Amino acid sequence: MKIAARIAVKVAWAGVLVLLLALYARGAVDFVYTGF
Amino acid sequence: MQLSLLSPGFLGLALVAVVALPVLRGDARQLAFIAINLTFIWAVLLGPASTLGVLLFALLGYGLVHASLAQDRRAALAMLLAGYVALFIYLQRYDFLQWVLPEAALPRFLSTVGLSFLFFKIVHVVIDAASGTLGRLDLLTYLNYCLNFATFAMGPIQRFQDYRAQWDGEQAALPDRFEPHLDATLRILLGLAKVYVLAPFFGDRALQPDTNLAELNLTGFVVQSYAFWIFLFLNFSGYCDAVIGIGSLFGVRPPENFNKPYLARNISDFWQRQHRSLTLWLTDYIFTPLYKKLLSAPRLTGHRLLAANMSLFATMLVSGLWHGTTLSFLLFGVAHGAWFVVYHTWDALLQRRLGRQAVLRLRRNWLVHAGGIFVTFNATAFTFVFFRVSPDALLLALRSMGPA
Repeated sequence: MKIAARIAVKVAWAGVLVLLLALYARGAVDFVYTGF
Repeated sequence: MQLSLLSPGFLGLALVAVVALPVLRGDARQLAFIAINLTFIWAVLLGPASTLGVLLFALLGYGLVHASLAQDRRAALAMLLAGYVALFIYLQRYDFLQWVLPEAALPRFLSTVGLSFLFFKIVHVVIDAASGTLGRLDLLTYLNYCLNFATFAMGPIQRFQDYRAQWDGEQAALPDRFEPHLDATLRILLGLAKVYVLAPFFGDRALQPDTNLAELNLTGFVVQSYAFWIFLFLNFSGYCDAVIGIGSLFGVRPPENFNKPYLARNISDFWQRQHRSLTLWLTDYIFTPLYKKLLSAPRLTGHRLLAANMSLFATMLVSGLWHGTTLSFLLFGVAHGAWFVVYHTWDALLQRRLGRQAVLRLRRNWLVHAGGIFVTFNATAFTFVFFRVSPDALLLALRSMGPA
């Protein structure tokens, strides 16, 4: 049960991140290579 | 140079690698990986001419590895290695070359993105082969190690032995369960969020290459320097998070590269937390051999502190020059070298005066701890300004700066 709850939280967190990235991807921000 | 982690090319190739590499075996797996790596370098990163240049540079390294295996050619190997370093300096178009070579003789058509990482990986393979610690090596494994699309552009610098152990299945990149795979996926998403959401927030507020420093007051300079340092950390560590996640899913997990560098208590602690794969490389191939060499020199025998300080300074100088080709990066290396020497000398004198146990107790004091973090954070934020601003502009601005 503990494992299932932990995985559910992680999947939800992944969903939030995907949503966030999808929103920002619309702005098409490009990663700028800084010289490393 | 613009490089997008979210580009369809990079993500598409990552997906192909994650799906195909774990199910393929033997030569088919090697060939699929080399195809993915070359496609990335050719189509996403560098274009045909520079890809050919990179491939030739790597193959030349392979020749060096084989030369290093011949025990009776050590002197020749040192010369070949020096020649390889010179070739790297030439291809990187270090600024000082314009003073010694005519403009027409400088390489203008080759992109150098990823070359510094490739160079350090190859030098590591050559030296380890010469010392007999590399183990077996074949061309395809070597090329895939060198050109691994996940770490080619910005590291982390993985050791060949670690790469090969994971590629051959002697060491698992991830435990064979669902949750670690979910963690790796989360790591990719978190990395992308750092790079595309958080880093730009600070990047927009940071010093820009065209910022007129003379127009900034001290507060503005400090705030924008902090923002630049945080931007650099989020950008680079986010990239590393993403490629560690991707690598873990396709079977070769790159090494960790960061461990909360903003909590470092001193310069030594800082470089053990920041860009750790580079620090390990510099320790193994610059600091340690140089320190041993200096200690064995008749004039320096018994002068351990002096030998260590000279080696630390030289190591930081190499670090600065590896990070970039201009005077700013040299100054970055000088600043960190000088800081290392001051810290190391202070620490040694303190231990001599108070004793090791007393110094350890002092370090555990929360005020000393917090003070160390404050000083280190500010000093690193200031030295990273060299990454963005030319030294001339910096000096000009410092002269004209004053309270608002």
